[in-house]
Amino acid sequence: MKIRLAAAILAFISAITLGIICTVYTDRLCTQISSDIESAAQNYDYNALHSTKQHWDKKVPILSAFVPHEHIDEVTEILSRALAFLQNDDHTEFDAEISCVMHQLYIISTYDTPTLRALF
Amino acid sequence: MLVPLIRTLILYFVIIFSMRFMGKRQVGEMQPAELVITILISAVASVPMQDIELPLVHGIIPIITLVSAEVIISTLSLKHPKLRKLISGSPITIIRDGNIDQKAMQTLRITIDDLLEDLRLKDVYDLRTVRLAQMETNGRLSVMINSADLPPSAKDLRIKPSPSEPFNVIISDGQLADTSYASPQKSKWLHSVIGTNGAHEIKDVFLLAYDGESNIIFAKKEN
Repeated sequence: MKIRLAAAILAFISAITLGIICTVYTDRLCTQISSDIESAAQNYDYNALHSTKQHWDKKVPILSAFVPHEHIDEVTEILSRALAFLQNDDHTEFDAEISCVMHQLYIISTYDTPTLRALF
Repeated sequence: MLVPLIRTLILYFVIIFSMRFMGKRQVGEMQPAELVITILISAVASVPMQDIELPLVHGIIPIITLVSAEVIISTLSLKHPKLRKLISGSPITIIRDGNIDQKAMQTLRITIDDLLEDLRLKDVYDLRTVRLAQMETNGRLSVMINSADLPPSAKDLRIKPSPSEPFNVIISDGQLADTSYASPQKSKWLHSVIGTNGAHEIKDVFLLAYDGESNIIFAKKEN
């Protein structure tokens, strides 16, 4: 009985710990990606944005373990579109896409944060 | 196609492990909280099984949380009767000395038909013979019959029936169920029993059970 109770408490604590780790990881990654995108967008720097997207693509498999895939795919798609607009010097469309991706990253970063909005 | 298959298998093992971890109970013996958790686990697990866009963790974490909470709460309720009463409730007496407590029935929201059905399932057809009937916390009715209405036991009759042993299944559906009968000595006896009952081989026998004394249950396999 004691072993079962200890295992249950351990599982419960592990679930909480895993939840906190996932939230912190997602928040840090999204903050970093957002800041990279922002600096690349300010200078309309294609190479910087391209390397940011590559960095994002590398993190997608880890992020997919705890964030709904549709949110992640949305960011990947917007970044691809933004890169295409930047390559064609369409800055108006590019700025719009950047605005969208920043919002989408905010949604991902706050997705698992236990806020009132998320809880109810 | 492969992804839902693998995800379902993962969830299957998580659920099996979780249910084993919770403890062995039949559905009918579950306390209300346990039944709710079992239903919740099956509902929670089905979502990531079908929706591969949802991370698998979103199905596993709620299952772990539910099972852990159940184990912790049930362990705590073992030590704290007040908590146990709060979670599981307490038995309610419905019949005392053959009289039905209608208020208790209203509280439990059970009809007279439900009560009579439960009594019949307990082989009770005459309400007057019931000394006490209680609705247990798991929803089952426990019945105590008046001593005067009970059939006499061997002890009452002061007789000593010969002790009976349980029957051990030796052959089940043409297969040797008890492997100890594969030994040469027992095998010889087994084949003599099979031959006496009109069969030739083990595969011809549907059921052979033996109580270790002299009683044998034999059923030949139908073609």
